[in-house]
Amino acid sequence: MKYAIITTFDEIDSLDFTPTLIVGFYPYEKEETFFKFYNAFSTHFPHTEMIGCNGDSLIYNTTPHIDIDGTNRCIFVCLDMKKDAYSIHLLSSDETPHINTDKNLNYSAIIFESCYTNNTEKVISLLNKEPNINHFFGSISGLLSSNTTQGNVFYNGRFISNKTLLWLIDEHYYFFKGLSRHNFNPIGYSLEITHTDGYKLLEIENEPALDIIEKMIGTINPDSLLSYDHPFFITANNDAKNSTPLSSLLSIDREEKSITLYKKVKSGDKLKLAIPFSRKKQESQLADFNQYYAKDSIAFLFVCISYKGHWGEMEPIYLMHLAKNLNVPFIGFHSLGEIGPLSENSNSLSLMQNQTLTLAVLSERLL
Amino acid sequence: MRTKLCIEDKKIILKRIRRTFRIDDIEAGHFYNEMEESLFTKNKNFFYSVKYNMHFQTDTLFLEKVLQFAITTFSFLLKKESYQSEEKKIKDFFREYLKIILVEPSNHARKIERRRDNVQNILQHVSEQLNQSLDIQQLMIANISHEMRTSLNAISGYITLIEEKNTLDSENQSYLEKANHATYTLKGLVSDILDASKINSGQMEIKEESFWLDEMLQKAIDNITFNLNKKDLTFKTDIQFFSQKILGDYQHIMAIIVNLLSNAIKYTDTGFIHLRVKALEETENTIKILFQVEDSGIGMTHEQIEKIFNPYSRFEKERQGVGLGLHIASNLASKMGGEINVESTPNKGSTFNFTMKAKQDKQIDIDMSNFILCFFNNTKETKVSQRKLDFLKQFNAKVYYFEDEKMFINYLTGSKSDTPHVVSILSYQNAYKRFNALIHYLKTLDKFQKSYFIAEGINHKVTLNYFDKVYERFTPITTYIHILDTINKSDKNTSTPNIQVLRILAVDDIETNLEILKLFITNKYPHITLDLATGGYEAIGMYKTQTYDMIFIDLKMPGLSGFQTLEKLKDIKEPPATYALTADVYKSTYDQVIEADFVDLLEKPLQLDILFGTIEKALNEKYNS
Repeated sequence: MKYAIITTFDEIDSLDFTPTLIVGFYPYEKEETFFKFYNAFSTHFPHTEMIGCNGDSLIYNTTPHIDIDGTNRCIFVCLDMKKDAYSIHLLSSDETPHINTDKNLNYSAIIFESCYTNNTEKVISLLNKEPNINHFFGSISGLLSSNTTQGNVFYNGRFISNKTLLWLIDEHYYFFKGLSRHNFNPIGYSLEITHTDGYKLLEIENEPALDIIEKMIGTINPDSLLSYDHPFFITANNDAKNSTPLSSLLSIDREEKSITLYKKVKSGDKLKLAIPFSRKKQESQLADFNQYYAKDSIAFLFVCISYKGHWGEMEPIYLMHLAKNLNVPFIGFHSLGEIGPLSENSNSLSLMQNQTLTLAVLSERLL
Repeated sequence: MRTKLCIEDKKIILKRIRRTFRIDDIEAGHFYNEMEESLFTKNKNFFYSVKYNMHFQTDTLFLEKVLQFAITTFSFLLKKESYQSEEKKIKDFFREYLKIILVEPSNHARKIERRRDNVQNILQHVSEQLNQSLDIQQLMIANISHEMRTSLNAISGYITLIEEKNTLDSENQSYLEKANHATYTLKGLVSDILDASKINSGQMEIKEESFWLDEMLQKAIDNITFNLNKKDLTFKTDIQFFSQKILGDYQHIMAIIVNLLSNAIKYTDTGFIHLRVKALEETENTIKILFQVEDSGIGMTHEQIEKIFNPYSRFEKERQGVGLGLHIASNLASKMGGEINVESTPNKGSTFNFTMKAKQDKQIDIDMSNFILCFFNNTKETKVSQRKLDFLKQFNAKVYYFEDEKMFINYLTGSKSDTPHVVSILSYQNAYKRFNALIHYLKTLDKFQKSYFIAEGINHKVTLNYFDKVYERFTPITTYIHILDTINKSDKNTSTPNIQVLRILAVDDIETNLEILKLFITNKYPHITLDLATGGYEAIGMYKTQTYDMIFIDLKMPGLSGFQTLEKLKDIKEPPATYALTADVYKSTYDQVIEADFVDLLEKPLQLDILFGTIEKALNEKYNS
């Protein structure tokens, strides 16, 4: 599979193949630049499809952030994939999601969510249930929907809000493999969430949520919020498989004594405190990504925006470590939620979580 | 606009890079190129590389080298006239460089410290919560175990009574045996859970009592014989003769050995189990002993060995137990200053070594001056025999020792010789049948009516029905001491009335417990009078009108507790030896019991030998004082 990573207009002219699909990422307020790129690509390759997603800041291989010269560039990977071996779907958040797949084929997938909605969990649950979707990964775009100027995902010339972009690939020809890793351990007893309102936790164990949380972790100050110091493990009430995704704390309301997460919660869900791994374990688990090395592959890396906060100083070191050891070029962005499996085990479910590094390596199957 | 440094300066800087960081030409070249690019463009890769190297660097002087390189290189560049137009760029670059190596790490360290405080808060809270919950759990386990032990006490008591009546047909007898076995297993389980809970809460009490090691080993072997006989295994013992009494926790040491042997039986289906006991070191006051249990069982992998002493580790779930035994054993061993280690090969077997150091009890108060023993030994084994003879002579026993069979028989059948209290024979296997016939004859003679005949070193099943005791290895010292006691008692009994009378008061709110206690005691001691009270006040009433030789009081009773009852009894008159009965056998309970002037604590379910031991003690005190 031929591919090329493009960050400047000049590079488009020097492409020595005709891409069938272009995947691009654009930072905040760079929709116009992104669209100019789309036009340039369309002029050169009128039959090429293009998908995109908004990211808080972009990532490209050895350099932690692509905007090294402060120009907030966009980044594209041009892929020469077999036309029939992939398909793009737009799933509306207003309807019950439905995915058309050929039951005789096996698939890998990537989803780009314009924002986290109820539908996100529905799509994830649907993909986990689809027997012929073996691996899937994804990310929630890097901007809260209230900040959106045009739309958080892009498909063939249109910026779109409130939709899920699904990129399915036929595993007979190509496949995605990878995993999500976060740096936290659950600790203490499970606490029952007893009263909620969307993303907001009003009561835990029938007491004001903020009182309970502060009793356990001490007073939450604005600095800790900005650096995402306090994630929680949340287990859905009806989760038979007992998966416990990690969710960051978005804000607190002292008057209302509530806390708000980056994830919707329901009464009956369980909450557990999280404490970070030791530095040694954080570093050693980076090696888990190395197993996904495959010749001529390209990887997508979705990194929680908390990495710019909680892990601030460490992020460039970790990404450089990944670049030096994985040996597969990667592009990606900082997101408000990542979707991927926490284990290499093929039965492991892909979950939507915060505070992860999620890697999805796209490789061509040697026929 | 300049994009590179002069070639001469490049050479100087490269040399400095090589010398400062001790790296080769290629690495130095790469370092230089990244630095030069970052100096003249907006590419920041150089800074990230420095940051990365600082993080994964093992050289503790690396930061100092980075700083030294920066200062020397940039002062060198700033001094050069050729770079005057680039002065701002060089200064900006230097500022950024210092920011990366000094400012950012120190800011990060502050953040880390704040986060560490957060984590500390969380850990403190969670630990308080867990401790609270552990306390509740411990209380719950204590209460449940109390109830379970009380019920088990009743069940096993009734089973023993039914067994003793011997009125069941063989089918019902086999059902009763099964019920008995299940009760035994359940007792073990409750006891394991309680022991584990006591160990984990630091409540396990280690006693120091004086006992004969060989007697304890004999009991440990008796304990596992039932399960051992259910399997076709060869059980071998190689036990050194110990002539010392040691000071230690008899029950716990025995529990460890029984556990190691039971485990070997559990995980060995064919082959052998070998128990070796020997002294590793001996000083004037201490002795270091190795108890080794080797088996030809399923063995373990390295991974399994690593987890073997964790609680609830059991490798074949179909085998009985919950996997607490070794956890308890290893904790007990370390509490007693010993250790257990294991060597194992999958499918070949395991060897568990339990080593412990014990104090020797030098105060042995035995008088054997009237004790006559006759030993015959025609085997090559003389070392142990000699130690045993020395031990017995040390206490003035009269010992005859023969290696010649003819002389031995002449001594026994001769009319002028002393009649020995004990005749002990150690010989080759095929000779025992002959000796069995000799003993048959000797027992028809009047003078041997009170003699004990012992066979030692019996390695396989030989029917020796005229011997009084048969040992696979050596006779434990305690056997001689018990025989001596029996002889002394029977001598005394000729001059004192044979009926020994005691009056005992037993107090327990559960009538079943009282009923069982009464049946146990009166079955064995028909002349003992046992008065029963179902509560503290009832006991006080009886105590006012009657004189008792000993009292048993249950600690946990509604109304007056056991402690309060004893206090009230003390107000009336000085009570006799009073024992506490309880299923809560925590160290704290034991301490409270001693503090309250109970003589001792008897654990429920009652162990008959311990119960009878306390009664024997009271009888001795009453009739020998």
